[in-house]
Amino acid sequence: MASAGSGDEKAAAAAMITLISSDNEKFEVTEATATLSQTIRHMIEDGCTDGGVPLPNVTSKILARVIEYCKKHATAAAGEEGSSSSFSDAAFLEVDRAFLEELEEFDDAFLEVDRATLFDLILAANYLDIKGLLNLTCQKVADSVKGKTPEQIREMYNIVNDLTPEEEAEIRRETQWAFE
Amino acid sequence: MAHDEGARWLAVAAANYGALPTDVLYDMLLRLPAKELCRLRVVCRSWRSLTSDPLFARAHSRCHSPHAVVLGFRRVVKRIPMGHRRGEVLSTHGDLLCVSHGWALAYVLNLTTGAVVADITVESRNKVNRDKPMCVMGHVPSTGEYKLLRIQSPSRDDYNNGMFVTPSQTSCQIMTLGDGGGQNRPLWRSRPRPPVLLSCWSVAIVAGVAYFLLQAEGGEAEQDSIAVFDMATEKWKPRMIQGPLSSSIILSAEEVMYPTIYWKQFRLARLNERLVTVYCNFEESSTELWLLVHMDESIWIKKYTLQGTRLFWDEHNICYHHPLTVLDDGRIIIVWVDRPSPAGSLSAYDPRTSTWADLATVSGDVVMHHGSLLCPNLSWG
Repeated sequence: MASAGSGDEKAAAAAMITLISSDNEKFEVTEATATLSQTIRHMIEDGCTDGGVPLPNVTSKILARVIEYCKKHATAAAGEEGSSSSFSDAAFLEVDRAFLEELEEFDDAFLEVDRATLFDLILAANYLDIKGLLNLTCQKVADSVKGKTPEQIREMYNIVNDLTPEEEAEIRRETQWAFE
Repeated sequence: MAHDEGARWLAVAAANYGALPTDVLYDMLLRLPAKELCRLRVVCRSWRSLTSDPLFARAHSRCHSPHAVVLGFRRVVKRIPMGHRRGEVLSTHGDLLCVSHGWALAYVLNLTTGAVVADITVESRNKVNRDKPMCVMGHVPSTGEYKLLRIQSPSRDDYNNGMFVTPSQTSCQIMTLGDGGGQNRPLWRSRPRPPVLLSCWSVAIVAGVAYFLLQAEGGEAEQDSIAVFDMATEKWKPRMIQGPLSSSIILSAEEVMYPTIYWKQFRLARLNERLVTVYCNFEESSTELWLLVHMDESIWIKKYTLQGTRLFWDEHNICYHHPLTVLDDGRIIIVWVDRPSPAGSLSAYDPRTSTWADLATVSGDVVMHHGSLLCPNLSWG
């Protein structure tokens, strides 16, 4: 890297954060990436990130995925700020659209995981308070529930039906229109 | 195992409350359409209680756009996720819809459950020379009551036959829904007659106030002036509201001869809890929506001009636009009505780009349902 104009890079380099997974693996990320998590943002604001941020609820496998998401979306956020402040003509809108499409593709590919991983990602997104990731993963679960029968859902998620037959009949009567 | 853990939180088994946040399940369920949620209430007890909670229902309504409801005879035919009248007079508030057929009966339908809540006898005993009775429903915000207003006017045939008719031949009665013990036998209370000859064909009810667009035939009203009945005080306002265009349109001799045809260019609508005069300009194929901003001073503003689709009328047919609601993103949901056929279409009009997007083809009447499908008795005061 050339030294000219490295002031910003230095500042960025200085703003690296270490995240520590439950199995004690360390991940170095930029502050821009880390602050997609509101939880970490507050920790940084409170100045308690020296020596790394322990995340006892998140395994290294899941944390790696979460960081992958944040890196991609942090770039997107930076891009958005840049474009809205300085460009507005059609050419740049076109570039923006291409980038948004790419981001969408990334999100789709990101969600190609098994159900257990998906749930772990939701838990991590909830714990770390990453709105975009929580939206994305919750929507994925919601989509998987759509169109399923109650029986299929119980089976999918190991839910025990604790309603009595009478209660179940009553609910079905109340919401009969939904079953038509 | 992680999988089991995920399954546990989805079940929101109360036992596992601490390990898995209910708010995540809450977030996930908020994304599902109401119909799915109602269907999934039988999954287990905790799913039922969460989706029946009024707080959840309110949050859900905020996340999802209101939906249009297509009506069949005494039932809901179809719900289209996103008050209009046609032949019948329809008035809605929250979950309840009053349909007045202009026959002997009107009924109140619960749009969430699809059940007929009340049958109402509309026709009064004095049938001589009366036009079809009209029954409209309004919600009085201050008391939370639903009231039905029944109006019978001299028949239009009488005008056409050159009979002498006066406001005294109009009757006006009101009742509170739920009064009178048996729901099928509501108690009607007589109210003062309207201050003008009320032979009206378009009505809108906004915040417990009924607005009647007057017909010009009586010779007493301006072509788009409006009589006002307050359902809270159960009184007519002594003064009429001047319509937005009454001073600016000059009728030709032919129009004066056949005013009813031109009358149909005006219509009232409730749009996001505001009164709107819908003015269809058939010559220019445009529809203007005028918003009432000051009742006492009769001040209107032209809020939207919809352009770009065909409007049409002749003796037998009429095609026009009727607005249903304005969505949060600024698009207006419009029904395109093609009388007398039952066909119509539901479109979203974007006023910023003047573009139309087709949403659905509908056959039958369409109303907006702003209530929650999750919680039928949610109050929308």
